[in-house]
Amino acid sequence: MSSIEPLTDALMRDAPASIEARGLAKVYADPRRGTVSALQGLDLDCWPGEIYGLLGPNGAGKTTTLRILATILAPTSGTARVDGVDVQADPLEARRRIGYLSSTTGLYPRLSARETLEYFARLHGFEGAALRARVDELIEIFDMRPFADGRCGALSTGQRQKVSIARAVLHDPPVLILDEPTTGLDILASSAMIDFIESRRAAGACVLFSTHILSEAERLCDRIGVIHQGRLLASGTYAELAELTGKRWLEEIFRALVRGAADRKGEA
Amino acid sequence: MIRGGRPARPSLARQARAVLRIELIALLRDRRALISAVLLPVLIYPLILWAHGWMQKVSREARAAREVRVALDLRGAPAELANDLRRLLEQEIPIDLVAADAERLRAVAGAVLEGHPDAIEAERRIARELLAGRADLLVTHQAHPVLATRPLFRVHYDGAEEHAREALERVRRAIERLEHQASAQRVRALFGADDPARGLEPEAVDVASPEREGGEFLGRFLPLVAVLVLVSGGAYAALSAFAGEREGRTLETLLVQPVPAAAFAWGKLGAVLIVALAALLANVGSMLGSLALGLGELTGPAGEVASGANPGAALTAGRVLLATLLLLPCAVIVCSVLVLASARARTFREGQYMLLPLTLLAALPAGLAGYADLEFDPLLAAVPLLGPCLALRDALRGDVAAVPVFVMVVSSALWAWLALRRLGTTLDAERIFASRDHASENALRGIQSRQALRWGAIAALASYLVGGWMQSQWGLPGFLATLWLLLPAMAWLAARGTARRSGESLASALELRQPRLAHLVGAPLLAPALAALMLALFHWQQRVMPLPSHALEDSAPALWLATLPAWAKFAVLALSPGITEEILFRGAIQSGLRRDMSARTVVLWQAALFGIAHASIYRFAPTALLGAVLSGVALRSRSVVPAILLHVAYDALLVLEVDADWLSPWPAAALAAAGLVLLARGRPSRPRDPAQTSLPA
Repeated sequence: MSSIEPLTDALMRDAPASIEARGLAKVYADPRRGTVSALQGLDLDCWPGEIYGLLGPNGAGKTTTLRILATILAPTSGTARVDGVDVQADPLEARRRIGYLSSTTGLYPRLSARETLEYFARLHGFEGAALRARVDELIEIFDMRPFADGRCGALSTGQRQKVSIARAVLHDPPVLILDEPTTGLDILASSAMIDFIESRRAAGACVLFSTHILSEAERLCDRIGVIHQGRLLASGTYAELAELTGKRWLEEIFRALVRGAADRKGEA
Repeated sequence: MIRGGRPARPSLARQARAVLRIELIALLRDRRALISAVLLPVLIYPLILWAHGWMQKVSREARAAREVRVALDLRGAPAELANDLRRLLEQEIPIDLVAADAERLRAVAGAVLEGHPDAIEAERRIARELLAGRADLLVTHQAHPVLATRPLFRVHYDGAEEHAREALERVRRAIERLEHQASAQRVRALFGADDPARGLEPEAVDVASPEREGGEFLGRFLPLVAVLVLVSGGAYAALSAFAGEREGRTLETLLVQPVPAAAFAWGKLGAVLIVALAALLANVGSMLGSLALGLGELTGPAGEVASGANPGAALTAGRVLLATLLLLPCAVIVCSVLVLASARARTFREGQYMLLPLTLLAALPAGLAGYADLEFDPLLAAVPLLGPCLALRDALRGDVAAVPVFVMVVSSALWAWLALRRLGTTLDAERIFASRDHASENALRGIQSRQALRWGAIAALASYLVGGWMQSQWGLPGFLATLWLLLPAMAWLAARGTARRSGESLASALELRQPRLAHLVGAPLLAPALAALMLALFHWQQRVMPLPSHALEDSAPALWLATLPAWAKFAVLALSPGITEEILFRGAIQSGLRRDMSARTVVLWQAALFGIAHASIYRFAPTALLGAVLSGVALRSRSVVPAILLHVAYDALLVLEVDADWLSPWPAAALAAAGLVLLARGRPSRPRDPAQTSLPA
C-alpha cells in the first residue's frame, strides 16, 4: 500500500458506505507502450448524503477509478463495492444502483429527449404505463417540456445537459458517479450542474465526482481526495487537508501533496 | 423516489428488442442510411440502364452521321460483282467513294498472299502512303492465290483512326450483303425456292420455358448482386450502430446500463440484418421492375443478355421464397462480419477503410457462383458465402439438389455461429477504454496508417491500369518499366510522406534496415515449401475455378517468356519483382500500416492489397497468401531485406521450374522448419516502438 491512509475517522458514519474500494490497481498491457500502470492501490470510502471530490491533474487516474467503480473496466487487483454490491461479482446489479455521467457523454442526435429517456428506461426494465409516467415525471422535474419532443441534435448545450442528467438519474440511483461533469460547460450550465449535485446530496445520495477545477471542489465537496500518478495522496475535509499540509489554499495544498509524493519517491 | 417502485430486471430478449427498435428508428431518420440502404439500391438499375441506353444511342448516331471516304481499285474483279459492291457501298451513307490506282500495292499484296512474309512491311508502307490524306480505307481486288475464279477483296485501313474503323465496319457490312446475295442466287439456281435465302437454314425451336431461361440468367447474375447489396446495405447500418456509437461518445453511457453487452450486440445485429435484407429486396425489385418496364437490357457475367420481362418470369412465388430462405444464412454471415469489423473501428471513417477489403473478399465467392460449370457439390456447399450463392443460383434455375443444400445450411449455421460467438466481444469495454490519452500520438499514427492504405490502393490500381497498359503496348520493356519505374516511384512517394510526418529517414520509412543474419538466412529457406504450397493451391483452385485457356494465352509475360534464356528469366521474373514489389509493398506501405495497426491487421491488408495488385481473379488466392507470408517475415525481422530474399527465391523456383529432390514435400518442410526456427530465434534487428515516433515540430 503506497497511498496515505484516509484522515477521516471522525467523519465515519454508522450507515454502510455507499462506495468502498480497497487496493484498486489497474495495469494496461498496451502492445505499443508496454505495461502502463494507471492505478496503484487505491482505497476509497464514500457515504450516503456526501459529496466526494476526486482532485487531480490530467492522466492522474481519476477516470480509471470512476470507470472501475462504474463497472466499465475491471480492476487488475483490489475490490470495490457500490451500495453493498461487489462490482466485479455482480456488475449488472451494481449498475442498477449507479447513475453515471461524464463531460464527454453524447446523446443520440436523431432521437428526441423523450425517446432517449424512454430507451434507457426500457433498458432498466420500465414498461407501459410505468415507463410513460416516469419519463413524464422526469420531463417535469427537469423542466424539459418545451423541447422534450425535438431531436437532441438540435438542442442547446444546457438543454442537452438536462437530458443527460435526467437519463443518469431515471432509475433513482443511490450512488452518482460523475466524471468531470462541468468540463466544457458555460457558466450557466455549470452552475445548474452544481445545483443538481447539491440537490442529490440533499436527497441522501452519495455523489463521487472527479474534477481538476479547484474552486469547484472547494465549494462543493464534503471531502476531497487528491490523486496523482495513480495514487491517492491524501483524503479528508478541506480543513483536514489544510492542517496536514500547513497550507491555506487548495492550490497550495495540492502542490504540497504532489511535491511530498515526489520527495518520498526520490528517497525510496 | 420512483412512484410505483423499481421495476424488475428485464430479460435479455426484451433489452435486445429495445436496442433493435431504437437502432431502426435512428437509421430511418438518417438520410445517409436511407440513401445507402433504399434509394441507391432502388435507383441503381434504372440509372444504369438509362445511361447505358443513352450512351449507346448517342454513339450509334454519332458514328452513323460520320462521313467516311473509301477508295476503290476493283480492277480484275468480275464487272457485275464490282458494280454490285459499289452499289451496296453507296447505300452506306454518308459515304464518299473515290477511285484509286493501287497497282503497286496489289502487286506487293499478291506476294504476301503467295506466302512471302518479307513483303508484309512493304505492303503496309505502300498502303499508308496511298491512304495518307486521301481516304479512310482502301479496297482492292486481288487474284486468289489458289482458286483463280474466286474474287478476293483486300481492305487496308489505319486501325488507330476512328473514321477508318467506322469505314471498315461499313465495308464489311456491304461485302456481307454481297456474299448473301451471291449465295441466294446460287441456292435459287439449285432449289428454285421462292425464298432462297432460307433454303438451307435450320428451323431452331427453343424448348426451354421462359421461367427456366430467366432463372438461368438470374442465377448467374443475382448471387454477386445479392452479396454486394447485402454488404453495401448492411455496412452503413453496422458502422452507425458500432463505430458511430464510439464517435458520438454514447458508448460509455450504454456500457453503464444494467444490460449485458450481448443484448446490445444482438439488438444491433438484428437492425443491421433487417437493413441489409431491405436493401436486397429493394434492389432485386428495382432490377426486375426496370426490366419489366423495358428500360433496357442486362448482361450477365458470361455475356448473356436478359431483356424485357423474361427474367422476371423465373420468379414464381415458390422460387422467390426458396431463394430468400437460402440467402438468409449468407445474410447472417455477411452481417455478423460487418458488425465484428465495425465494432473494432474507432470512427466511421476508420470503419469504412476496414470494410473495403471485406467487400472485395465477399465478392470473390459470390462472383464464382456465376460460373455455370461450377457444380454445387457438398464440398463447395460448405464454403462460406460460396455455398449459399450456389444454392441461390440453382434454386433460381429450379433444380437445386437436396444434399448440398443440407450441407450448406448446416455449415452456414456453423460459420454464422462462429461469427456470432464473438459478438459478445464487440463491446468489450476493456479493449475500447483501457488506454490512456495520447491523443496527438494516436492521431498521428492513424494518419500514417490511413495514408499507407491510400497508397496501397493507388499502387494496386496503378499496377493494374498503368502497368497493364504498358505491358500490353510494349511487352517486355513495358513489364520492366512497371517494375523499375512505376513501383519505385510510388514507393518513394509513399515513404516520403511517412518520413516527413514522423521525422525519420527515407530508408527507415522504406524499412531498409540491416537485418539479423539469422533472418537473412531463415527467410529464403521458406521458399521451397511456399512454392510447393502454391502449386497445391493452384491445383485446388483449378478444380473450383478452372483457368480458361485464353487467360493463359492472353497473359502478357507468356508471349515473350518462352524466348528468354534462363538468366534473363531470373532477372526479369524473379529478381526484379522480388526487389521492387517488396520495397513498395513490404517497405513503403507496410511501414505506414504498422504504425497504427496490429500485426494481424497489417498482414491481412498486405494480403488483400498484394492480391488485388496482381489484377487477376485466378491469381488472387496465391498472391494474397504470398503477400501475407512476406508481410509476416518483414514484420518479424523489422526489415524488408529478408522478404526480398524470400520473394526472389520463391519466384525463381516457380519461374525456372526447378525440379530438384529438395523440393519434394519432406525436404521442403524440413527447410521451412529450419527457416522458421531461425526467424523465431533471431531477435529483431533493433527494438522499435512506434509510440516513440516523435511529432513533427
